[in-house]
Amino acid sequence: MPVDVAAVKEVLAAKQGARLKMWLEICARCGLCAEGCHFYQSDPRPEYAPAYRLKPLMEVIRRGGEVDEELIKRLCEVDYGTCTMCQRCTMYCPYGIGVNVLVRAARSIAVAAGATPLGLARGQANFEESGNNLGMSGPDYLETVEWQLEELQAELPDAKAPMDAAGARTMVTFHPRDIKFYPQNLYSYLKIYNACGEDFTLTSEGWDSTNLGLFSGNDAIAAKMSGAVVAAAERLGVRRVLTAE
Amino acid sequence: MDALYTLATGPLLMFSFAVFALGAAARVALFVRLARRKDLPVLQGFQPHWAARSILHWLIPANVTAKASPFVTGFGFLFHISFLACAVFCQAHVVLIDAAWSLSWWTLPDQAADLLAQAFLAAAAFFAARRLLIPVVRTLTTPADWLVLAIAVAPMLTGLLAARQIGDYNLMITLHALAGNLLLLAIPFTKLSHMILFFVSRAVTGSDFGKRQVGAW
Ligand code: HEM
Ligand code: HEM
Ligand code: SF4
Ligand code: SF4
Repeated sequence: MPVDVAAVKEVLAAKQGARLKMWLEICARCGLCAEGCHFYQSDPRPEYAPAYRLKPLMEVIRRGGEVDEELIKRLCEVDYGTCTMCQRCTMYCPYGIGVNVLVRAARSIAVAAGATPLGLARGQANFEESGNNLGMSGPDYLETVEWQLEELQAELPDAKAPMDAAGARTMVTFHPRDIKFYPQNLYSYLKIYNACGEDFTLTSEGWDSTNLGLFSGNDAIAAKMSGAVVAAAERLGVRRVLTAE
Repeated sequence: MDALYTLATGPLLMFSFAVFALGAAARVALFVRLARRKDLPVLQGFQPHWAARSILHWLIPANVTAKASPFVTGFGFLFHISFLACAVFCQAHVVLIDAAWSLSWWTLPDQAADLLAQAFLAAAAFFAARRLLIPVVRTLTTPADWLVLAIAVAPMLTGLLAARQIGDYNLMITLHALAGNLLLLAIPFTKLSHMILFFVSRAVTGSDFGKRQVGAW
């Protein structure tokens, strides 16, 4: 598949902000950030040093966006394959370089080139269809909440799981994995919120706060995803939102 | 040779110094200007208190890397402190500045400058060895890193050789003045711009840490 060079150039121009330019220039390539990275700590390969993630991006810039499939493939391997954007490296870098910000810029290049990794693309498509990245239907979600609440009430008879309660203090959101595959996690969350007497509500819309668009480098979808949570919070008039892990 | 030396300590030096000073200021101004257009949250999120804490934690070795990488930190401080001390306080320099602008200040005794210059060269050798021997650093290193290290080492090495009268003094002192000019000219345009942008970058990241209340690290 030929790469859409025009789209890459457009994203590249948009992403070359003040921090990106500064950080790519001052990085000393001293390797101190490696001490912070869990990839490097569990397998000390030179390619696992955080600063290594900047190489494909610098190459894209050096070529002025004239990328080919080969470079995009390498960029994907390095910037999707070996970074979780956890930011630990930033704490170890003497300049405090935000490697995660640069990795995300690199991922935006991949998105523009049409190279979003399949798993992430699928999650995003699920979101477009169902409002959550695992494609759970609304009824399935509501039923799972009901079911876990009933289980919980066997232990805490007064337990509640208010749905769409306007004016609550806290709106809680989830990782859809916890609802679909590990409902016992939902049970534990509800138990904690009830036990500490929090004035909380669940929401029937915008309950998935994992932002795959933020992770994949797709700005449009990232905005939609956080937009859904914000819209739910505004609709319910809550004071704060508890986001998922 | 004499003409070259006169040039390198006269008009060229004025030029280099102006490029250095204006370039340094411009780097900060350009950062702010670009941030206004493309990185607005960086300006909106600026928190002076957290920025200052972050800068301070890394200007003194009170950070996680000082513990995780004590040797690099130690040699890093030696490298920078000896460099700045020699550049600002060595007698020859203060005499030159006094002659040009009738400004003068406390100077290092020659022996101390000598010792600091040697300490600097040792630290530079340590950084060069890391780049050659440690696989992570070797993989990251680009030719530009060697060039910058050479640009940083040249004035110290030639200054020390001139002061010790090793080799042809006239040649050495001319090379030294040229190397000093080259360094001043390189600061705004290479990764040596970290001399200024270190403070900007730590301010940005410190403010971000402040937003999350996670400490200065
Ligand atoms: C006063 C402002 C300065 C500050 C705060 C500063 C800070 C730093 C820091 C935090 C590092 C990375 C960690 C390390 O390797 O130690 C570094 C690296 C470096 N600095 Fe500076 N620096 C300053 C000025 C200078 C100047 C004036 C020079 C010119 C000689 C210089 C030359 C270097 C070099 C060559 C490296 C990379 C060493 C390597 O090869 O790994 N710095 N600086
Ligand atoms: C910018 C232009 C510069 C000029 C015109 C200049 C000029 C001089 C002169 C005339 C001397 C005296 C040599 C002697 O003893 O006869 C000297 C010494 C020295 N300079 Fe520079 N210099 C410059 C930049 C630098 C820089 C950037 C450094 C790096 C820190 C440096 C480090 C030294 C050292 C270490 C000595 C020897 C001090 C000693 O051991 O007594 N110079 N310089
Ligand atoms: S610690 Fe910072 S300056 Fe050093 S290589 Fe890593 S990102 Fe670059
Ligand atoms: S942000 Fe990426 S490179 Fe940095 S420590 Fe985390 S996984 Fe490693």
